[in-house]
Amino acid sequence: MLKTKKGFLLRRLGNEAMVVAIGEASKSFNGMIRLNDTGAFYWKELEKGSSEDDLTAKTLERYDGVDEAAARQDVRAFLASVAVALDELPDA
Amino acid sequence: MFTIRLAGVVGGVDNRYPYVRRLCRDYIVEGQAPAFTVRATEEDITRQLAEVGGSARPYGENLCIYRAICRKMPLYGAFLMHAAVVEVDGEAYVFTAPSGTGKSTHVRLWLQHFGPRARVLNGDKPLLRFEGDTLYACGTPWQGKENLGCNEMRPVRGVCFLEQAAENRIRRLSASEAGRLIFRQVLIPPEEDAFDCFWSMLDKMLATVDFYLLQCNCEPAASRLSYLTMRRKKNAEDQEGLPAAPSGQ
Repeated sequence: MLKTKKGFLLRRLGNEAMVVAIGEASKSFNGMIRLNDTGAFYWKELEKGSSEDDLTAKTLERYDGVDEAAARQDVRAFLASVAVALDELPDA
Repeated sequence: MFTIRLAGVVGGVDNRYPYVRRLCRDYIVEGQAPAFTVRATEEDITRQLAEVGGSARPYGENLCIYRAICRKMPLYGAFLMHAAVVEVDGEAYVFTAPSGTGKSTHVRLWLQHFGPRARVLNGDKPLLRFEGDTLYACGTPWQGKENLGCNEMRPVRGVCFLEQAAENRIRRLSASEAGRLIFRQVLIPPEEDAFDCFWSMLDKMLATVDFYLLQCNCEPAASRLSYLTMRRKKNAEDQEGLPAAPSGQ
């Protein structure tokens, strides 16, 4: 299972969503990661704990007319872009 | 132990070395209960000195103290910005850039140009705070190598990011562009409650304050360009403030 690390916060600045690192987290990552609406949606799922499969399924639910391969590719690209902010936890 | 007022907030400083108290002398207040008290341990000081590459412990303590203050400040409505602030005709013009870009040099051009109409509000580490919808720049004892500044607060007319260039050029920045640049010039509080207070002030600042990018050299023309551009917006607003023509009802 993938989960967002402590100290990485999703916030809005103006009309842009971004993830900012505070406290200990800011020592490994100094700055912010900008997210589009889909990215912010994925992030909220990851705050609860999710996986590539979960996110791909959610994408297919959310957007009509997207095929699974394309959805999975999007999810993978997203996960790579926020990898620094994610923990991989053993599945319960 | 002593008490200071910064940006309208009273804070206690539990110091080990006399240096920081001397530095803060223009900001000391008596008989007021501090909203918080900060101190630095010897370990904090050692860590701080390792970071900046110094060895003077009283100096290290003063840096630790200000960092601790700035981490608390958002809870009381103020935050730190790494910038040089010059005041002209009672309004604050904020210049920000990474160290070594030429903030002090640019501010010196303003002082030369305006003479007694201008003074430095803070040369390096001012605090910013909102009063209603107006952002104010506030003097602090931490005012840079040249130690220029005063214990005053003034409304911010504009914020200008500086870059060195051969030719002088200036343009307005969108809130999104400014948001990207301002990140490196502010202190992000490590605690989530202070961070959330800080974040809402940053968001309000980006929505209400005018931001510019000034690419400039060290010629006097650079200060004319930045002043006239940041000022022109105000002149236009003053025009808008004239009574509207009757609507013909």
